[in-house]
Amino acid sequence: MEALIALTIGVMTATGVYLTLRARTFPVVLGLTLLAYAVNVFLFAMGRLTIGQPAVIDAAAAGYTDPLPQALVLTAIVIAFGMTAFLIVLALKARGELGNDHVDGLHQAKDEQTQTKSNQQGAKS
Amino acid sequence: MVKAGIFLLARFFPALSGTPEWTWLVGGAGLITLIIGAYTALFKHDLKGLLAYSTISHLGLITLLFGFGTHMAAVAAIFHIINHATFKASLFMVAGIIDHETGSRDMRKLNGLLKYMPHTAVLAMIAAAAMAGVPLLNGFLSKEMFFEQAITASHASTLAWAIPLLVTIAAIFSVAYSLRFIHDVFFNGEPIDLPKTPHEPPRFMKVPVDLLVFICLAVGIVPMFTVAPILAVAVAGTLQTTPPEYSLAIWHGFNLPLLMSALAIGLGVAVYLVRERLFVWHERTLGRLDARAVYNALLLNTLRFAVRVSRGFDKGSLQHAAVWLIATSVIAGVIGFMSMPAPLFGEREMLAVDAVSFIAAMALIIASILTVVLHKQRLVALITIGVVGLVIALGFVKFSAPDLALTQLSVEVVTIVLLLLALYFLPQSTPRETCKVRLTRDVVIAALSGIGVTLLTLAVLTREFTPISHFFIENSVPGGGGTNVVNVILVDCRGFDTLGEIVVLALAGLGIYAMLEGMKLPAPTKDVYGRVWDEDHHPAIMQTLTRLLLPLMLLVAVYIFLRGHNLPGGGFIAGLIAAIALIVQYLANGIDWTSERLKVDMHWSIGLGLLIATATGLVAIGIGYPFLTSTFTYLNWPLVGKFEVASAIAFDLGVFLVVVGATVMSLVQLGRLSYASHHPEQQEIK
Amino acid sequence: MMQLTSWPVLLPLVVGFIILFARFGGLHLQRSLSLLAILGLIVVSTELVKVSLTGVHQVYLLGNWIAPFGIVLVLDQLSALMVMMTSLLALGALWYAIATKIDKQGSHFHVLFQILLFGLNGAFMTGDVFNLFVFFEVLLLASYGLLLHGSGRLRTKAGLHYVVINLIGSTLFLFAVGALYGVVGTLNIADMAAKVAQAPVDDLGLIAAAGLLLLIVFGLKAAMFPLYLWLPNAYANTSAPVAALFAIMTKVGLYAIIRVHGTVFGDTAGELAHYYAPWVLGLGLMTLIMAALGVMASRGLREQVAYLVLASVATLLIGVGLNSPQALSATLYYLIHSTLIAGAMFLLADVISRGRGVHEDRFDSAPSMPNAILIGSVFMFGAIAMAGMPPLSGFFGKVLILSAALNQAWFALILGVVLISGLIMIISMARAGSLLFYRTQPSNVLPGEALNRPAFVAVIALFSVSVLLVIFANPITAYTDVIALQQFNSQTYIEAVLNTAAVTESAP
Repeated sequence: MEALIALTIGVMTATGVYLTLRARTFPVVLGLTLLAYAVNVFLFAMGRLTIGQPAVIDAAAAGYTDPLPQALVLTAIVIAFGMTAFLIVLALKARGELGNDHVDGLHQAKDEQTQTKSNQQGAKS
Repeated sequence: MVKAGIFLLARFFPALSGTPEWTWLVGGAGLITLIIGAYTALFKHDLKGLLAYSTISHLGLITLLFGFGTHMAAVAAIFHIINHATFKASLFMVAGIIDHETGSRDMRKLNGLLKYMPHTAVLAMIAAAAMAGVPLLNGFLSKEMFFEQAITASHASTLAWAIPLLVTIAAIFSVAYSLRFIHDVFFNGEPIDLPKTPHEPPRFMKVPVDLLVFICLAVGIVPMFTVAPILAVAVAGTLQTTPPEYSLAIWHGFNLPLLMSALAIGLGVAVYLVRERLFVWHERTLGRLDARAVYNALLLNTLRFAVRVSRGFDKGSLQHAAVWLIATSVIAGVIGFMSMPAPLFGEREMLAVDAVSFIAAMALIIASILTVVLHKQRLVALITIGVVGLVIALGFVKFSAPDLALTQLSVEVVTIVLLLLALYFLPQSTPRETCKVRLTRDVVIAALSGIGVTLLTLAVLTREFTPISHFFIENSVPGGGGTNVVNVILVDCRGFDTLGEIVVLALAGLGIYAMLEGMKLPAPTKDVYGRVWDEDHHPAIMQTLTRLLLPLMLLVAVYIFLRGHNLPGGGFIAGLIAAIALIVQYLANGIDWTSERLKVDMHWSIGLGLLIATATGLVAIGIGYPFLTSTFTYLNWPLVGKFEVASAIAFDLGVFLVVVGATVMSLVQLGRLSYASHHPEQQEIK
Repeated sequence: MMQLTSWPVLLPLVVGFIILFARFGGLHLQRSLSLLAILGLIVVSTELVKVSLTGVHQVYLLGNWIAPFGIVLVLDQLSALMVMMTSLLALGALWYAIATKIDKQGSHFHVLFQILLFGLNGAFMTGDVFNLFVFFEVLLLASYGLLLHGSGRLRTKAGLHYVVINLIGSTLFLFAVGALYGVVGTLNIADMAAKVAQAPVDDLGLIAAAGLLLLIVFGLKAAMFPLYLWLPNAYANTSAPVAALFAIMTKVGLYAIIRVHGTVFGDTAGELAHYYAPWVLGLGLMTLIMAALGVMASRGLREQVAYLVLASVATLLIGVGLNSPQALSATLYYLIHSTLIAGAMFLLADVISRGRGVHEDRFDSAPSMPNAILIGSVFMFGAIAMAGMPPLSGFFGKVLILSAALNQAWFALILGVVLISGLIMIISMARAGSLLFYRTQPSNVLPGEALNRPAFVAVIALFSVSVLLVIFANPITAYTDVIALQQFNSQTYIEAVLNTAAVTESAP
């Protein structure tokens, strides 16, 4: 199970990194969101995995999971949410002021080609 | 300021001296400066120019002495610093006087000033003689010590025999330019069209020179009674050990240094006598080498180099910066691990994989990969990333974390709504990238970081560890008064983290508000498939339904909030549920309708939430406990249990209010933007 | 007395949200509150320095939970110094913002300003790694808001880069902290140090890896090569008082290295003791080279000052990497100098930019600005201080760091890099000065606005610190010596944190 979780975290990280390195703001936001998921699961897993032993005090409980990483992840989720919200609005602001959604404010980067008509419309409007 | 560099050398001396690097670096630089300075000084027609290059030369001399690295050399260096300061200062003043009285500093015009200003001439002669190293003056003493050190140093290596020779050459030039300073200015015929008729300067200008020249003489004739004590202090300060034995006598008998002095004076006079021919030769050869041009060329090349390197690395590209950051992290992780001889994995037993988990994990992996594959169609990518978030929430349920599951779920909903609203203003698809090199690079870095994180996770999960968590489980009920340990940690043990977290959320809300304030974005009129956006009013069924749902959802929020301390739930989740309930109203009924009925500025909610959360902590300070102490544990009030719950709830209430305020503010502000973009005729609605 | 430790954190927080309410009371009210709060902070930090001089660590148990289970604030001489510097710099920056009315250009300037101070002071005081993460996020989000304050295309772009890079950094921070927790099972810095000291040999590789990841995170904040790419644009394109205040932001990363790595991987850490130091030294040297080239290649004064900040950070990294009490003491002396002088330089660059009108701060020939002689003299002063020329404090700071480098194996390399990069910076600043002040076009009209005298006071006040640092070099270096010794004796820190008992009875 641990290997499976590790692999999942790895895949989320890899996809997150790839998207974060894209040239347009929206994929970057998606990438950072994926990275945040990955690190949240990672942080959670650092308390080791347990099944059926929630951290709620109960006389009948056989044992408890590690509650501390859970609290940390909760904090991390909230912070990531705040950051994502801020970033996406900043991306809108950048689009408004720079006239496009390239991270460096380039209208048409050298290595990009527009694919569809509608995108051109989107960029112009 | 020039002496400051020397001061630095003197300070470094004890720690550095004696190493070969020091000798070569410092000594070499000193020797070169000494010779070039002395040579150049002779060919300067400007009085002050002559003195300036002479100063450079003498500083080279001092540096060379420090470079020798012996204690005696250091003594000589310090002695020469003192001597040089006295005679050079008086010479600069003389040059100043001459400039002031004649209006010129050009030695080709200044001639025969002796009869116009005899007093100044005598002073200048003594000082210049000191500079040249004539016996019975202070310059002679330190120069003798310098020669002696040069001879000592010549035994050091096979090439070092050149040192005494080179310093003697420098000394020859030094004598020559000193002589020029005197002969060219005070003798050598009559002045040539000077702007003013020269005469003696006023007394106040001469007195300081008198004094300095007197010192030159006094030190030169009776060193033991004058400079010795000062020198002793300075030497002790520099060497920081017992100074070596040195002698300040004027006469050491016939020896090699004396011979070098004599040679320097004799040949110096000779050089001066053939100066006219030397000047001509110099003009034709070395004089053409314009130092300024060399300097400018050097500067230009350095500048070009700087621009190339600096702009080459700092391209102003985010992707470039991000690649460096991520690649460095991967490398740092690998090197860190390899630096210690330790196995990658531990021996902890792993849980068995069950079918449900396997399917969930696969779903997660597939959804993540699909997000990448489909990321150019942004709306689709948003759906797949939503799937990732939901599956993670399910995973939290599976692995005993109900609080996380609830939070993840509600955050997921709000995030997706937010991204959807934002996507409205962004292009609906991403252009294709064609640079294969960049794509390959990114895939490699992504894969490496994925592998790195996988290994890191596995490396930790296969190891046993003893966390501090038992404390929280033991103290949750007696210390924090709640059975939901996660919630107790959040609002009590690590309440300070939570306080920081809601500050972050509040700031995000305020920041978004500030950014969107006055922002105007053109909204697209058509969607990605070319269909016109629906301008219809809000559907009636939806409106009715959501209005009915509102109280119900708020009730759920209250319920979740209240049970938080003992069961999964709490202020944060409740806040998000309440926020969703409110946002649904905006979505279904429009901003006008909702704003009219919900006349609460969300600033108040945020501010109040922070206030309540902080005030809960401050109450503890008021009664002498640390910030955020929950009252339950320490106040033996009759209704202990109940009071405790109230204290924790107050903090959680603050969390709740901030979450509602920040979330609603961000989303509504964004919604307002889209509303404004469709109704440009209407002014912004309050 | 005990409560004093919490004040530098709580004061800006409380004032921050009071100002949020005060927005209905107008800008004047907000300004007065903001200024008062910072004056209060200066008083508090003076008290803190006094208390810290006793040499006893003041450990504040938040929520009255003992370490390592709860979060602690720790006041020692180092954190007291950092809080003190933050408040002094903040006063200068705030004064300038108010005098030039920059705070009017957007919403919530004063709220963000105070919350940034909350984040900074929290980061300086906290004794918990995860709490440090939270405070990093607080100060980052506040800095995002401040960075974007006002408007401008370049500013928005720089802001976007800054935010994205820092979000990646935050993710990395969590990976590092998570891994450390997963191995040693604790989050408290002192407890972590104690656990690392007893860690089984098999775990050391993992701890070393997590420690280096953490170093990368802090290095990112401190702007260490090759992670500094966010800095030049962000600093060059934001408003002057924000850039000035940001002069302390890079120092947070540096402080975190000294605090976290210095404690967890201090003398007690066995095989891992100080293993991070060569990294800091090497990357510091690289940073210095790149910074010097950047200073030379700059197209405008603000960009140049941004690179000068980078150079000062690099010098500090070298000092930290040298890893001895003597070097740390020198580093702290240079830290005081470089932070306040860099702040002043950003303000001065803005003064010059305003005076030159449309030419702004670009290195081109423009008509002479109003009060050119006064501003030019101050610029020369700043350049001398910044480039590390005698007789100002930058020179003494560098000399102290270099003399601490003498017993290092690489001393020739360190000396060479520091001296040559210093030379490049001096030449570049001389070039800048002559372009801005001497090679002016003859013109009868003044190109820009007249000198804002009240605002200029802030510049002068911050610069005067350089003089004070020289005059009082002796007592100040004695003070930094004491701080460095306390910091290197990490055992006392660990014991103080882990042995502080909870408050058992009410004692106001």
